[in-house]
Amino acid sequence: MKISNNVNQMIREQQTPTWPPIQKNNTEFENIEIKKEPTTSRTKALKKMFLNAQVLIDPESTLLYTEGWKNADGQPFLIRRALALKHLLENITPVINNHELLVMQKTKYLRGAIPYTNYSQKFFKHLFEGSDVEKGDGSTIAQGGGFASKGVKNIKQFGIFGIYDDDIKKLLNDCEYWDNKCIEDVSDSFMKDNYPDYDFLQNCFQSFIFPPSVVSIMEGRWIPSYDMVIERGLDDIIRECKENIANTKLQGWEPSEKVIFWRSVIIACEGALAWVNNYKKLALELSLTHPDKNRRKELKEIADILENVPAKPARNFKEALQAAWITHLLIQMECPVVGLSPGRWGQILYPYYLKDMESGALNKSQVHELLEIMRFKFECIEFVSPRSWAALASMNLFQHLVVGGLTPDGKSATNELEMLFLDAGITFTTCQPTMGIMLDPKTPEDILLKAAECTKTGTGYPAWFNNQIAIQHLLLTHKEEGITLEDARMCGLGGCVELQMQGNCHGICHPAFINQLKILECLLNKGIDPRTKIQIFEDPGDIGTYENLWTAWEKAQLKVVQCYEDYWTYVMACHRHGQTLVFGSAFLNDCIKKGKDLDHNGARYNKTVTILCSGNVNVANSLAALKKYIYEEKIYSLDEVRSALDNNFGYKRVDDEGKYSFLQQEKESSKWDDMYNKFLDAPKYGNDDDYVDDIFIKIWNSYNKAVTSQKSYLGLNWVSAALSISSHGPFGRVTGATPDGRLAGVTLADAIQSPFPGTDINGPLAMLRSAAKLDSVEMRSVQLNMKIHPSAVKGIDGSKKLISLIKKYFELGGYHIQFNIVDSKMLRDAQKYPEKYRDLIVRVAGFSAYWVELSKAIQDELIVRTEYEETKI
Amino acid sequence: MSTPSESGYIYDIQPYSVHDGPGIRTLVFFKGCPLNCLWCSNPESIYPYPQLRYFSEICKQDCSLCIEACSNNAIKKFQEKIKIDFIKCRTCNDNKCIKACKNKALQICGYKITPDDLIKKIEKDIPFFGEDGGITLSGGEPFFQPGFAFSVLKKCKEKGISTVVESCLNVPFENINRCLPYIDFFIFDIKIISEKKHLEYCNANNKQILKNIKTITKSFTIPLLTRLPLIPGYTDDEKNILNISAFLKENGLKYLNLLPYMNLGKDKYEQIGLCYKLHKLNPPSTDSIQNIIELFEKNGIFCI
Repeated sequence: MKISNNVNQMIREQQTPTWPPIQKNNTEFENIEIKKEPTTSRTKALKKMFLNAQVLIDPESTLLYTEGWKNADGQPFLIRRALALKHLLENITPVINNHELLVMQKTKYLRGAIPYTNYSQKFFKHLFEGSDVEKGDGSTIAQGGGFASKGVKNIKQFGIFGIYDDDIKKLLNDCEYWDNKCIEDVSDSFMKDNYPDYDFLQNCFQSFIFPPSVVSIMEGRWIPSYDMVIERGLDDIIRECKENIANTKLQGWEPSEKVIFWRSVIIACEGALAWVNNYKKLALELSLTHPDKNRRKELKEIADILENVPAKPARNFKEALQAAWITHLLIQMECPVVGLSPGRWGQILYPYYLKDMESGALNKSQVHELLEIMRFKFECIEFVSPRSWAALASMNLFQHLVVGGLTPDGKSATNELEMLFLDAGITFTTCQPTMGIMLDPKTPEDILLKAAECTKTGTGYPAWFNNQIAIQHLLLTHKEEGITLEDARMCGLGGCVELQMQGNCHGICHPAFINQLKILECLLNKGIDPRTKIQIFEDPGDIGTYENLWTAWEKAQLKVVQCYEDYWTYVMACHRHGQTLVFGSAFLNDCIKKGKDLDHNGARYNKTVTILCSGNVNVANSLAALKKYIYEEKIYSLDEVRSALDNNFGYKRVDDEGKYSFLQQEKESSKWDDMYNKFLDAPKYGNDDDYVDDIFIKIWNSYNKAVTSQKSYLGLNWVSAALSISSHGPFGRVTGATPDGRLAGVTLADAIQSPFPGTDINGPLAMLRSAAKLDSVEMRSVQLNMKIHPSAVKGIDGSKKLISLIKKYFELGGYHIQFNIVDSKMLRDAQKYPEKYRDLIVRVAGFSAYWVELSKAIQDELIVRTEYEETKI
Repeated sequence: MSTPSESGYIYDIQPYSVHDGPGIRTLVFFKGCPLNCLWCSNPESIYPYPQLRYFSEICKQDCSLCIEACSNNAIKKFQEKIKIDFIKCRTCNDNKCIKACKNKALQICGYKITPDDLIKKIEKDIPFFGEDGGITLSGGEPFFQPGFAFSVLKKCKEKGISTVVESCLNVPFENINRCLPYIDFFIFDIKIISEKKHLEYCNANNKQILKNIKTITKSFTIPLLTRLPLIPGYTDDEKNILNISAFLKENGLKYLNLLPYMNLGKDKYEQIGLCYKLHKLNPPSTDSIQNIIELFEKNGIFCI
């Protein structure tokens, strides 16, 4: 038996004994301490630069865009857009930072954010004219990571964003121009005039069934065709468009639309080349004047690279990387986009990597350094948006880079370069780009182990995805579009967890999340939102049986979903006539071939748009409690339940005081103690209990049916998906007490399949079994987060077990899993709020205990121990 | 002292255990142990039957519901704090106090279960076992309930589940031997060679243990792992190490798994009305562990 071989080959271990003995041939990981530190002095310096940089709002490109837009008044809209972009790019200030080898950036500040006034402008007036926050107004600025500039003259501070005094006035003037012209304003008045359910829509916003509008950051979640620019160059793209124009006879209106589109691509690409040329000139200039000899050489090389790319095909790895970066940047410049994802750069850049490695032009550590620099560049991209988005995402741009998976002809895609991407992710820990691994049965052990090591460094990435389920979903969803197996295999993520394909799939551009628990709360309250007192739904009437309640739920769900879908279709109607992406369309197959932009189904695949929701775990737990105690055992009446919910189960309402955790609640009255305890004890999702898990599945089936009941703005059915990012916080804040025993204001369950904190009491495997019951193939995404203590994943063996756990979960049908490797900081949080960490597994040989049952003293010790172990992998 | 019927008493089932045998394992903690080691990290496993557990940190000390509910007068208030007479408590089977407590500060530790029901629970974890994983019987002492252990192990093998047993070996050899055909991997402890010290620290002499080791190493063909709990001041003195080295060598055992003392279980003592005697003891330092490893190696034993 295999085990006896292990026993007989036991070797002496060098450090504290762990289980089981480590095999000698794995010493590559065993003895190397992977330090979470940039590998060269250059990248160390870049990291420092980033941490010290102020986050500033830079209106330079906005003003240039407006100027170009005004100058091109009268032109067909797409051409006008392209001319505005060209004007912007020709004139924006180029900046090359010290130490950089990969150049070009969005603004002249290292961490500059562009205010896209053509998307949304009214928020800036509120901001600068000092009206700080109306609750629920949505007009406070995003609060996230980054440095506030401390009392620098001429800079005004708004949260973490600074802006120069002079710029404020310029920006406000610009906002005046875009007032009633930006897409947010235009689409709003368009809807007011034309959308029959406009009032219902507004009610949903007021009550927070929908979060505040995300139009200001509306673009997103796709993987451009980087290879188009890398392998062909912009000159060739321009040539193709010119040829197409020359060969098109204008018979009818469709061909003329195509010509307009191709012309706009030409103009925009010319602008791009002018921008690159400005950078090249700057690099040349600096290469003559920079005091350091080595730096002068580097700058000259940069100028040479920009001489060639992106105009012409890349000839080597540095050029390919630079071309990819410029492609990414051009789309970033064009619009406020979240989830613009590099995807499979490890595949696309590999031939160039191989060439340079074989010729000796580059070695592994040089490539590693370049990839760290790449991470630096991604991390520097900032955006500024009203609180509505920050409430959802806290400054994360979700630019997703993917490794693993299959090649179009079905072989494992893993290569050395992908391993280096992971290495760079370990040594240069930044949020962006985030990473994922497409775990396929063919994915080899070495990259899985590397990904596990990366996971264990606590960065949160890579997320793990089930490649086979991903391919199944794509083949199913795009069947009517004639999807090929080759395309489906080149899958990746657009944004944090939603499936995409490399370079040929329309973005996932949607209005965001539905607050599911709020719907239930209203239904239980005769259709009225208790917080705002608005009558959202008509009174569901008699919900004296579970069947009636369920019918009312499905009805409300359908109404809300369809309204949200319609809302976005109206927004996109305006987008199609005022905001279509030129670079976005140019750099995606098959827009140029078809002669159609993204808004006119130019992409090869268009059945991609999704609607998201958050809070279904709480809904399932609530319905289970009601089913059991009100409808089956008839222990309480609905009126008694309503009274308990109205009175927050006898606890003080803390929505206003910022205490959103389970354990911070103060009791005022014991009148509802019995009911509260009973509801807490009711079956809870996450324990492999079919009573509530069945309800959970039914909720999803009904949601999926509702979502797919209509066609999107691209003429194909909407697709169901789910994720939560951090929407569960704000959603919980505005929702009162609910029958799952959740008190008013408390944050909802996070992710999609994660249990509500404190309710999964049957261990991690039971939790995974609950999650796996959701057949997610028809969904574009689902999401599961799991906490793990380092003791459970220690050493090589721990990594292997972690991988085994993931694989087993995927075999059961899981699609996604992501780990928070608990560090000492989290453990301190777990001390304060142990109920949030009921699921935390701490593993010591032959020992039985749960975190919540350990005394503070023991917990303190464990924290110290964890800190010690944090220094090793 | 084994229960006559096939059912047995356990107190915990812990999935995704990664330090108690190869692969991902589900650990079943048996109730009852013939030893009573000073450093035991699972004190709730020693008494063979269900027992009350009281979490004073969770108790709000603001009511007397448990006192009122107890039909044995085993709970009182003393100086404003709840005090439980755990001996009186052992005679009660009502669990009234547990149901009465609103804060869930009282629990019963341990329950009876048939082998079939236990397998039903473990079966769900099978998809996660993979090639190497399976079930590990621990506790407590699995062979303290030999009939139950036998039934469980046999049923596991019938289902193709790999089995590991962790034993202190202070049981009749026949109890172990009978289960042998259904065990894939055997982990056992060796603690102290000196009979006197073993009696003092583990509350039983080690004659049977040492005899069992001799017999097992001679006759068992399944993989074995020897474990030494490394308890500073109790098992880590040079004499013990030399004695253990000699004993292991005599019996053809070359490898030893060191388990450094950890005190994560000390709070459990108070929870079940026992007194933890090693409060002042600290886990061994990396250096001292290293020294011990070297000492073993000098004497021909390799530590893992």
